[in-house]
Amino acid sequence: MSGDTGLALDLRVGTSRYAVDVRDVVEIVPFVPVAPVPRSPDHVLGLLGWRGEALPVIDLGLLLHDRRCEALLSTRMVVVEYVARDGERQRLVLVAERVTDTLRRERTHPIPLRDDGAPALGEVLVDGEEKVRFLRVERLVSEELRATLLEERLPADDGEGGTS
Amino acid sequence: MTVPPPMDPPPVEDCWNRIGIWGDETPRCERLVDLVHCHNCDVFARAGRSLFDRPAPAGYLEEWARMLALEKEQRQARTLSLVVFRVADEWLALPTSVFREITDPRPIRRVPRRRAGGLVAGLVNVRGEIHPCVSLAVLLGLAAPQAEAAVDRLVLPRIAVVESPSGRWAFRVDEVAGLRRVAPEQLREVPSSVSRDRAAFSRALLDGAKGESVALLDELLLFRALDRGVAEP
Repeated sequence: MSGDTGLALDLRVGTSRYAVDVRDVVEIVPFVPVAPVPRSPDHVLGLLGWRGEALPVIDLGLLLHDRRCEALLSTRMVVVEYVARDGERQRLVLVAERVTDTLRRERTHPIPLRDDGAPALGEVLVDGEEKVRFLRVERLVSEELRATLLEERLPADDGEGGTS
Repeated sequence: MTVPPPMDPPPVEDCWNRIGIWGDETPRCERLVDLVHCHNCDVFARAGRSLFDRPAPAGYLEEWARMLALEKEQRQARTLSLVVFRVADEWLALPTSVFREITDPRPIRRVPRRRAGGLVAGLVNVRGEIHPCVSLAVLLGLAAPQAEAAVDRLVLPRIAVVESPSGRWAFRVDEVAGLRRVAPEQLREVPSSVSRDRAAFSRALLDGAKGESVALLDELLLFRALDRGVAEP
């Protein structure tokens, strides 16, 4: 993986801003229909058939704000990659709104973080008058949830069917 | 096959076309003193972003879902960038560098004293600029397609605007396959069996994504023919 470019992908859910380090981002694609997984938590929309793999799809709106991301062109799926605790590379898909911009860390100011029991949320930056919260992508899906989803994993070529 | 109706972009205050870098009204925008170009202005950036705040056209997401499910193609050594498009039943290509814009279909206004079905289909308004809209099907002698074959993909007609040494031309295409990068060795010579009109404008042939033959047009010959053809009454 390349070095720190100071560049992060700007994501929104409603008026709240989040960010993901661009080094974690594999691909940004439109918000396409996904195959639902039975008995999964609400914020897991299902599995996305992606380049021959089936990846869990997390709606950040449902996860962080209890509302679905709006179905607009600017709402996109962000394929992210992280190193899981067992050292294996895992991929995950995040759905967020207004995925149209990047932000530079050097133009923002970090503010001290208090531990508020939200392990998926990291550093907070101030960009102008708005606060941007970094997401720790490796914490968004617990190992247990991942295992359950993978158990239910559909063959990748079925991954495109779904909730259109 | 579904063709979504052309989408109207959301209304935006296009100050850049009036007091900005593309406009000629006075007084000029005060921000230009600092920013130099509208590209550096957040008003311009916001307007661009707002284009994405609308629902996806019908079929768009399904098409993407299908594409994503496939393995990514290996990229090849690249030399020539082409736009591949379809007119009637023919797949054609022109160098990407001549394209200025490819946009949703819009009304083509007939020009008085031009006969219908001629080279000049009419005038078309793209972002406030009026371009002559020509028919490549007429120029290349392409027959109107047989009954539209059932296709399993999304087919969107487009208006393409290209830049020639004598100005811009618009033409309607029935479908745009997208950008292609080709290595010179992928180009084949045009066999003499290809009908005369098309062969006259074709520089080479290449294989399309699904094995169809794509004719790479010689843009200079094409533009020259357009200049000549439009000058004729």
